[in-house]
Amino acid sequence: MVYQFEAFLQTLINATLLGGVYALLCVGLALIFSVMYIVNFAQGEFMMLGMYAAAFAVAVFSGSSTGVGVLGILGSSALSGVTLFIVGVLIYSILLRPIIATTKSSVRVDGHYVQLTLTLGLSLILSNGALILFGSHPTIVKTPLSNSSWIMNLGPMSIFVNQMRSLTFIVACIIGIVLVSVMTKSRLGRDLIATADNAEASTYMGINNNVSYVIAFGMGAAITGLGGALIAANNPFQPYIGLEYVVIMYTGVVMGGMKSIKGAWIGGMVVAYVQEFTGLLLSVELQGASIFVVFLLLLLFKPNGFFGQIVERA
Amino acid sequence: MLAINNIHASYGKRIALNGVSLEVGDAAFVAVIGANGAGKSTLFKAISGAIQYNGSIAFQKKSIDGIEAFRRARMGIVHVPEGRQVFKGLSIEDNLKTAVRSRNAIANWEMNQELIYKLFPKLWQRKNQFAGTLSGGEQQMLALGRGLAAEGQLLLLDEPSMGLAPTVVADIFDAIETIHQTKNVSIMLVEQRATEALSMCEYAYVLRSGVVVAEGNAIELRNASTVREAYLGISSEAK
Amino acid sequence: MLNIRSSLITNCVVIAIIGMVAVAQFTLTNNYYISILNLTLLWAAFGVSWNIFSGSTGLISFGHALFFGYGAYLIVYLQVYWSVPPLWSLPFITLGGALLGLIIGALLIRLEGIYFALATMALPLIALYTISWLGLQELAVRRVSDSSLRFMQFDNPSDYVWFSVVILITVIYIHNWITRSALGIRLSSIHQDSLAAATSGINVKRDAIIALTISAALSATVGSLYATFIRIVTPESTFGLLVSAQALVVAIVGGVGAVFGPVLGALILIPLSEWIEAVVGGQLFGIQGVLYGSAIIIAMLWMPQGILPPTTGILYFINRNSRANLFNKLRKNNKRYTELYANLLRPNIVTGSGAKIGFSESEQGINIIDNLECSPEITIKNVKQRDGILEVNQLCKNFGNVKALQDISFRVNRGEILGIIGSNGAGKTTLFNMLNGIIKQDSGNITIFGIDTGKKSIHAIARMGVGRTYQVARPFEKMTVTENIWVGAMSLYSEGQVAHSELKFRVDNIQKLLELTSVCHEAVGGLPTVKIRAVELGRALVANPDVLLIDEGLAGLSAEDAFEMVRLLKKVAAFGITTIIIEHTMNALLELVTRLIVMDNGKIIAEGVPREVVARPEVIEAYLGKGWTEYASD
Repeated sequence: MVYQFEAFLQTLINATLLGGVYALLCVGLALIFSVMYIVNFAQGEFMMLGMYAAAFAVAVFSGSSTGVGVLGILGSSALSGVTLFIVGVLIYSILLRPIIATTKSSVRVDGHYVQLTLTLGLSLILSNGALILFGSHPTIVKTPLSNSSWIMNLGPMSIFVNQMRSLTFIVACIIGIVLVSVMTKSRLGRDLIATADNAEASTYMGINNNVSYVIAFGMGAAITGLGGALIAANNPFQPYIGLEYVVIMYTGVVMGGMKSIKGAWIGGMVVAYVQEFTGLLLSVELQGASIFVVFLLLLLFKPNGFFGQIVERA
Repeated sequence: MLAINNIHASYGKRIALNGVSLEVGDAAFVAVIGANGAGKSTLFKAISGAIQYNGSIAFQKKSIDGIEAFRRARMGIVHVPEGRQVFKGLSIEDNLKTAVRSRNAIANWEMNQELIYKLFPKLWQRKNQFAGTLSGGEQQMLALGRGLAAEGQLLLLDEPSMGLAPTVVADIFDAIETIHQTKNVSIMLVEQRATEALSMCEYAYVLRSGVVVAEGNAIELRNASTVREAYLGISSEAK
Repeated sequence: MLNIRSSLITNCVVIAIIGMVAVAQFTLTNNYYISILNLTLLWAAFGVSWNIFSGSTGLISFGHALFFGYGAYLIVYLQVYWSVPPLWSLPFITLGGALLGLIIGALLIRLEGIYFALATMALPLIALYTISWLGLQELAVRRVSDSSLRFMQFDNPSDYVWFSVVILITVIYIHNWITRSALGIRLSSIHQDSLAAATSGINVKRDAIIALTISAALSATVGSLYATFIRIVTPESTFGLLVSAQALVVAIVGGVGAVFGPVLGALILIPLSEWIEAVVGGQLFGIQGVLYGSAIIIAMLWMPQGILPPTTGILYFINRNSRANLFNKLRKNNKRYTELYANLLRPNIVTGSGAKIGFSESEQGINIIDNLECSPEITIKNVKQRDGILEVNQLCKNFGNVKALQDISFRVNRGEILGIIGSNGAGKTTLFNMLNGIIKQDSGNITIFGIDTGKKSIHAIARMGVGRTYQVARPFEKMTVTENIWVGAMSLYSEGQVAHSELKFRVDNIQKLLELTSVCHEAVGGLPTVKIRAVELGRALVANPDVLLIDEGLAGLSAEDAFEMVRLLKKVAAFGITTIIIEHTMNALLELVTRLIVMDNGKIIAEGVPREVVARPEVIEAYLGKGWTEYASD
């Protein structure tokens, strides 16, 4: 009995810490969708690139064989974020800007297919390109933190709180708070929300929607990339890892109501809980499938999510 | 302030404007009236740059054809669209702030804020509430406030009374009158409600099926049966 | 003429394919090249199967790997664990694939755009995880010593190629047949505008599910053939995203909706990718994915429709010689048929006797049309109050805070032309959308012929006899005038209510009536507005509706065009079709309608004889603003 309760608590802690970073991943996707209505198939690849960027930064700037410490993690994550921002801006400007007119002006479904298919192509290029550049062997950002845990002793139970994951969680929360502040208190955030809300009216206010789109896409890529960099220390990764996570991101975003950033945050946390508790109650192999099943059920029964507004306006 | 010369515009095959010309002087109050489908909103969209058109539009004696919409807004053409179109995810105050962009707007922000909240006390009460929670009338007030805060030279008001209850409509029109008297800005008002529009403006154009069928001082048009014909399509003889 | 030519082309291309393959078989000695040939054929077949669903309906599936992988895994599984020779299991796998497609279709087809695409993407990945969980990571088929046909293993690799050719040819002919059938035409109209298709009486969901069922069955077969060729299956290679992407990319590059599109696409991409893989694949592991991704992006940015234009079989369908004479005889004796039409016979106002448009058996039908051509002055006599055929009772609808409709009640009598006018936001379009079933009311009911339409779907209401034109015209732009009008009749044809030959007659007559004969072979997208409106009208008319809803048929027209339109509408009205027309400009309407209803802010504020209603002060003020009658001095 005690053993089960301990396992339950352990899973709870794990899930919560994991949830923070899943939330970040989802938020990046939601930001892009809410501002520009682009369903980005390649978001998982942004995460993957973030991971490799972090690994690269660590390899270049740290010679240590035991891996980097807190500063190193923070630095490499920051670098990932910046890199992915640039990547996002470039990708938007070159590939997506030409088709954005079709997605926004056409109410009908065709517009969505164009960007879904296009970003699918992008996903293929990025994941296989990474395969060519980096090879297929799993990489990881080495840090002693990932193997160290604090131990909470609650009576007869011992709960392990992984240090790296805790750091991840804290950073994710900080970024979340920063993002919310930027979106609600700064001029940039105001303009982004205005564009997201009503692109025509924002034009009348003198807002250049295209700038909003570029920045939103870059930020979305950066946030997801940063999330990836944080995961990179705990999980080994290879170029195809994006595909595993893209469904996690979509599940979280759909659950939160596709246009809601706060909803995406909550959705990401919920996905983490589902995943960890599936692992506890069923089996580890089914963890992956369980998220897909949840995703499918969501699409079938609650496509508008639980927290957001209705996406398709009458 | 504004000179429109023979513009044509269509949505696909649907002709919306079929050769419209008009003028708006500095600090003038001009109304454009007509029934639905006459092309009034299309006219505004052409002026603010939201749609393409053939013909020429000159703002402050310079041609603006080909200039992108958001730039026209920054030049001082402030379009307050029909249907309110406030930013539902932003608070009232933030909504107003989105309009504050140009040097003049920033300089006059304090003063404009005072004016807006004086005109619309309800907005002051709810200034931190999300615009999505406001009633239709309050949203219209907010839209007008946004137009004010932008501190432009030409204010395009598109059917501010649409879908609002009569008492609210009265408030809105009072506010518009006050704006006209207080600020040195040209106002173009598009309205279906000919009575109110003609009682406020100095000069008016009557639009029907994309063409100007009549124009003149407000007083002249008041007596014209052309207005009724333009709306209802029947001459008084048919009665 | 055209149908013969297009059949000839199809057959020629098929023979050319067989010829090319035969030549390749005999000249290629290198097994590697033969296997590339085989893969090209298989992926082409997969692409065509995908096209049968996604190319036809426009619903892009990102998860056809589900069916492919199912076929691949099952055929190997059955052989390895149950010792079933592949050739025997193949037909059952195909049937199973159809069943799978049916189930998936029933589940997913109701999803909107992106959600549908995401759901299709998720499905094969679920299968992938499940297979891994079941421990079936890698299944391999052992070499069988005698290369017997039933094990589908051959010493000579070129023997595989014959199998692949057969499946490719089969799939091509199936797709071709579909495009020329009634199903194909319905699918094509769904692709272009699913809402307009629904209001023409087409059961969109059902047709899409049928397409998916066929597509799934064929994809499963291709997957099985692939597995017997490669002889080893892994989750990634059969259910992976790259597999789904390959079906997509060959079709997108070659031509979405073109029968030979995926063949062309496969011909270009497969050898290219295999060649690149061979040359640099060793160092650049993953180059194939980059190639496919690039092909997709290039196609999407510059050629989203692909190289070949979509195949349409509608002309073939229209012009075919119907074996309908036999049908006609059967119909004449069919009780249900005569009953149906007895109910729908309507008194003709001009001649006073019963007649229907284009009714081949009715001499009077033809006469009336001729008469109309000669006498442009048509007076519409007062229609006595008869049975109301459409009744609206206390309809209410709110959109959030906005009261779109408040307690709307009125009745439409048989043969009337009712006009509903009101300014923007008065609720007219909302009302129309409710009459069609596009949106549902919050309270109140609508009855047509005494039957409540509350629970019925859009196409069911259309079949009850409600036809409609749209405010922003929704013709099928890429189809010609004749084709557009035919679509309007598809539901009747498919139900067997109307024979092909009679439909032809009907379409011809409607074209004559609406003065479209001169442009009947032109694509609608390029016609002037009045003609487009007339086409929409024709499409609604061919199904012989009892109630015709015309949504702002005069809006956006110049004065002369509006006059034209009114003239056409009068001709239509002369047949006694009950018409409801909504407008916001009164001019033209006043000459046309027998009764007028004025709406404002969701309520009815006046009803009665047009000229009298329009002079009422409350109506004037609804338009011009309160107090106009005092304000204006004239």
